[in-house]
Amino acid sequence: MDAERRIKEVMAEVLEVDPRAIGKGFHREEAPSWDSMNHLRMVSALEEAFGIRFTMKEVGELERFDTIRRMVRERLPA
Amino acid sequence: MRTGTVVRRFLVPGFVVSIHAWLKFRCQISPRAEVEITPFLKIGAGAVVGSFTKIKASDGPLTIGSHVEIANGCVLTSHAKGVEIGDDCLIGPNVSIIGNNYRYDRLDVPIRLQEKVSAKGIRVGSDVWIGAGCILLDGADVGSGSVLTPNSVVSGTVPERSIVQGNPGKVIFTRR
Repeated sequence: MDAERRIKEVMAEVLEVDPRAIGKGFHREEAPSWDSMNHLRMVSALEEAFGIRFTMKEVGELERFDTIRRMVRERLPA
Repeated sequence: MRTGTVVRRFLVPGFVVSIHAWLKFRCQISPRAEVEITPFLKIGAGAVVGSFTKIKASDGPLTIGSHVEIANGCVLTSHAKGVEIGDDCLIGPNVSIIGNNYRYDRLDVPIRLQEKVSAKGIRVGSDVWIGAGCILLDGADVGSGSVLTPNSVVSGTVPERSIVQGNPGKVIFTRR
């Protein structure tokens, strides 16, 4: 399973949205359930799913799907 | 109820408690708060206690660290194993910190008449932010630097720097 699909699955599960609704430009304002608590839960779920870790500054930047995808990919082994 | 307890609870005006606490602990207690000044109670310098908060330390040690801010409408009660709150904590409105339990193992005796127990006490580390409406029960041990989101219920161990949500409170994130 590729990383993009897994990210969408994790986000969809935590934010309770349809994974098909998560596209390249999907961002925080589009999902009413994407509040500060679910943001932290989503970051934790992504870290667990991919075995990676974000800094506190990066956690605050993960507000768009394409940013999340880029940052996750940067941390995965080539 | 013992005479001393009656006097402390009903006959000492709030402003007297505020002045006494300022002189003894250098802390600010609202005259509208209900704080029992007993030998069990220790409050650190610079602590603030808001209106309508009740602090009851008749049955066991209750220690509040320095520069702790307790908002309005909270209830803090201690029992034999004590309640300890570290320095620099923020306690939001309507938080309950209840350091005792009742036994309920006998069906032939009303619960209120069964023994009050305090198995482990409550410990809150330093620099902890307890959100509005949280409830901490006997056995809660909250690590320093943690955040309890509003209405969380905690009765167990919370590791340091955790962000906790829900009932029962679960760690959803670790501050880094």
